[in-house]
Amino acid sequence: MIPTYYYVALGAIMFAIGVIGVLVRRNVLVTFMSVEMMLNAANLVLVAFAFARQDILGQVIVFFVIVVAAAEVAVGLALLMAIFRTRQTTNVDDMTLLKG
Amino acid sequence: MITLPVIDWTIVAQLLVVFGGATVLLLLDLAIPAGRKQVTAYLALLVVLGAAAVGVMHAGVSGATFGGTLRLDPFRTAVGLVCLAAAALSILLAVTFLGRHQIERGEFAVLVLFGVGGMLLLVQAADLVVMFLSLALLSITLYVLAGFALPEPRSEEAALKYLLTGAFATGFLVFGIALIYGATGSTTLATIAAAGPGLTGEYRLYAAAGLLLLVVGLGYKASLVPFHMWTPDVYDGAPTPVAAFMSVASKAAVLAALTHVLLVGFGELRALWAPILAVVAAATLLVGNIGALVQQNVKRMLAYSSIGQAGFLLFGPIAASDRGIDALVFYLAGYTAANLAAFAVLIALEARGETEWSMARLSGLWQRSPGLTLALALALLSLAGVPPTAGFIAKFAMLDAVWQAGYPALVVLGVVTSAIAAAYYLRVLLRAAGPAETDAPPMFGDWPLRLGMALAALAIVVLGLAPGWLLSFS
Repeated sequence: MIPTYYYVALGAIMFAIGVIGVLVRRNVLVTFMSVEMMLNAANLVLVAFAFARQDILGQVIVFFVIVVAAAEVAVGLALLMAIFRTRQTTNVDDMTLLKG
Repeated sequence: MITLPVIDWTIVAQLLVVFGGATVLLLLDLAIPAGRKQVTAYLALLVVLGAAAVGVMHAGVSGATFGGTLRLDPFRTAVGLVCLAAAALSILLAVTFLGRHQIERGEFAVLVLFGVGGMLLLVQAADLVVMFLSLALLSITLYVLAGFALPEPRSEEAALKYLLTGAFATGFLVFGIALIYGATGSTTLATIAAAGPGLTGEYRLYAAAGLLLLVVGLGYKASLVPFHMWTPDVYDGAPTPVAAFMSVASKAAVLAALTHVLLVGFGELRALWAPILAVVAAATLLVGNIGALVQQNVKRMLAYSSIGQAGFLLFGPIAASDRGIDALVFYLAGYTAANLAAFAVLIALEARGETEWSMARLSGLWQRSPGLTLALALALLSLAGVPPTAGFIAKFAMLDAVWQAGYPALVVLGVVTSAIAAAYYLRVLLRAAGPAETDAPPMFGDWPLRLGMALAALAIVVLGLAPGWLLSFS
């Protein structure tokens, strides 16, 4: 059987890729995808631990995470639509009204 | 057959009032014609007052329900009441502001209700999953509220920046919860604490890493340095009553949750987190107060000042004592009153179409409105910690708590940064007392705004002159 820490390591690598994605990518849609990657890395780790422990709780948490991610993206995309209508851009580098 | 666990309804009564009220109000709002949406706001105010009354009624209750995932004790009741007070005052401040800015929509008050419900849930949570869900609930409502002035580009930008950093923080939080679940097999704080000492090898590593990720996730929401970058932009762009609401209420709820995670769940790992948190608190104090010093935009200055105040708030969990908890509650109450009073003055001076809140607009305020100047002076002196305001007692109690806990360096830093803070608060007051530099901006003094401002100012004075009843509540 594959040891649990392999899954944790894979999850950690996915999480790191997601974090780097949020920090370096400039398109808001790609940033959202990177956040999804972070959340799914956590989901993978949760499921792996739940399997290792033969415990249902970890799998239940995954459903909550998916629901919250969907709710966050729903608000995010609606906001992005509104911003695209006023500014015709989805690039975070163009969001420079607020600074100082 | 499945037997349902016995539910203690007294513990969730407050939550039921807020969420039930919010849901009913969302439906009622359909029947309220556009242009009379103030009615929705006043009904929401009633819901908040009802929830506060339930909280006061159950003030002495301690207990847990829903399998130990929700708890109520005097600390949780007190922080919950601070959140409710902040919500009530924010609704009062917003009622006429929204109409003036032509963004009077019924959803505003409902969103504030859902937001404060999320905060109460976060404060009462004794389980990481409940914390995650309540944090998501309060965050998502605050994202929408930050963008409420849509299609105003600055408001939209604030909402997007808040959402991106908030979603990023959620990722850290969830990964932290996953690791802690893996290490201990549970997400309930009491069970995590019980499992803690028995952890060995990689499981100990998972728990420690999970805790740090959790602190990062919560640190974003409480705008602790280095996770504070979003704060000035969001407070600057969001509608002013929304900035007021989130600067106090969400900070109070998140600090309470952080305290529970650290002291209840991971008290055993104190040797790991206490030094890290002390460094974070020091950095937060320095960056917040030095950042505020150079600001010419009043809203951004208040944002940086709120970062500096977050550093002080962190002294509560660092002290890890009853004294620290008492001080934390008092500090939250005093900070809430002072910050809301300061924002109330800005709201009274903000006409439609204002973009940047330049400090010059406060100049000559004393000649035009001594009342507003007095409220501003009380608020800023309290934030600076000048006696006899609430801020002085709060800062003193916090410094005393960390001194007792053995952090003399933090005490020194707290005093030094308070002196820096006094400089920029006084600079604003001097401008207000001095001659007018620009054309006089219009002033608004409708009764809900006056009432909100007066209540906040009264709280500053009362807490400052008679602190005893709140300072020794536990």
